[in-house]
Amino acid sequence: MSKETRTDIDGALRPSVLIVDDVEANLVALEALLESVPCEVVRASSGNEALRQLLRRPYAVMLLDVQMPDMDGFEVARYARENSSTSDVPIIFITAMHETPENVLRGYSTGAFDFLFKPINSDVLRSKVEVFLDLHQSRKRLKDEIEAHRATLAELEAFNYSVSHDLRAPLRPLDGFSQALLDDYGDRLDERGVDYLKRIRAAAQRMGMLIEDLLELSRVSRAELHRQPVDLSTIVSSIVTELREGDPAREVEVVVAPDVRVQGDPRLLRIALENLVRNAWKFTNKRPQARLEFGRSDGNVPGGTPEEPTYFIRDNGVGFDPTFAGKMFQPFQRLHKVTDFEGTGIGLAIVSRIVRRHDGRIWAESGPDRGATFFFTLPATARWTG
Amino acid sequence: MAGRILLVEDNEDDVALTLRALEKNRLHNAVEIVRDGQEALDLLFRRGAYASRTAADLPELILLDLKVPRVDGLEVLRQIRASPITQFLPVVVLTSSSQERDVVQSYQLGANSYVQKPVDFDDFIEATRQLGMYWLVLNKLPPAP
Repeated sequence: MSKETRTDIDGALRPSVLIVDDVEANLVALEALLESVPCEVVRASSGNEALRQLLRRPYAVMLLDVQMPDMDGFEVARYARENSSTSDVPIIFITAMHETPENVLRGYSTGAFDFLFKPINSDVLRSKVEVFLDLHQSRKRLKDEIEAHRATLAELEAFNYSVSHDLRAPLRPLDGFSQALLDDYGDRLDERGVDYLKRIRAAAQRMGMLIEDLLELSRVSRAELHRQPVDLSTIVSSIVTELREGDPAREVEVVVAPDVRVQGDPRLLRIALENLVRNAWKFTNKRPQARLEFGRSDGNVPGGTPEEPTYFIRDNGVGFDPTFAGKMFQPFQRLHKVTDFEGTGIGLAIVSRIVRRHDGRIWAESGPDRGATFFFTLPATARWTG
Repeated sequence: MAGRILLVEDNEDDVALTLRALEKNRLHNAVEIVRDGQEALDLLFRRGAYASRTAADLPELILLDLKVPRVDGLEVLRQIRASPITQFLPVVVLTSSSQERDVVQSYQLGANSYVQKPVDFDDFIEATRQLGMYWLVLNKLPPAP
């Protein structure tokens, strides 16, 4: 019964087909019918043996005789479905009964199945088996591809992390010794010399911020998503409070809609809101009457749909050229000069990645000097609270 | 010369910068530097070149980099906490890593603080000042064994 596992010319393992029947003659006949099908046939002469075989290797399909002593085919199927490692093996029941027993089928919520009626037509058998072989192959291919992508992604993230990390180390002496020169030898330098050293420091610190933001981007991409109820209004208010404390001279009118609650990861959503609110705070700093608003609008939003709630952060700051509205969610895209507004150009990429990890969308609306509004959706909300 | 602060650091730039930051806070006279984890352990446990030390020579604060040669920082920390002589010594992990795994492991092994060295030197001076103030002035240790 256990032949050497044959391989195709290209060396790939042939998919396995398990045939289960208590009558030896039926097994021989089935195997003969499958002779021309490119697969490895494994026999089992009882339900128990079939279940044992299923645990040994993945099967593309199991041909299962329904009428067997001790354990009938439906019982075998039920046991197979209960075990997570065998639950998705497709089953073709072979039966002499010409009615489909509906009550039996209802129990099989997972995995594909089909019926073959005795006497078996060889063409029908082969074509049904081939369908499952194809399914098995494409599933395996998909699984391999996903696995490969996942591995590449993990490698890239790890690489990104360690590169960012090692890149930061040389910045400390660059900044530190420039400062030391300014402190200890500043009186021997003319204005230009002092200016040069200050530029070195500024550049080192800027690169430090860039790396910090890149690390943050990498962290939010890798972090596990822990969904729970989150009150966005409270988060926005606390961010505003922090901003006010850090910048007491600024007068900004802030309107936060109360009780905007969603389902999401509180830590990641806080990072996203922090970036959006800080942006609004930053880009209104040349306005005598700066205004910042957070809220939820249901429908009637350009770019939104009536079905999903849309959240927004609006400011009356300098705005941006709408031509570049799509570009600014990519890392390192800046729509303003560094000298006008500081920043690394990574913040919105972080926001966008967090929103996408919640299966949401983000977009923005503006015109030069018309303020900016950032909209985002968190569709998981509707699904989770529904 | 034994110091009140033991700095475990192999990167010469970081040694110079840390000394400078301590100097800015008038703590530099009290620093002793070792360049790898093995030497740190020898000093603390009075072995090898440090055999003639006494218990009175133990530092009051250890600034520990995680990526040091021979014996890495986490292992140094583990051995410090495992010995009755050194178990209560304040250990501040002072490192460039912000990797979550490093932070968690350090605290699991009993680090008192975890400080990521900032790029901005002014921030580093401030961090050093606070560390010195807290661990050398305010903090109270149990009586020596």
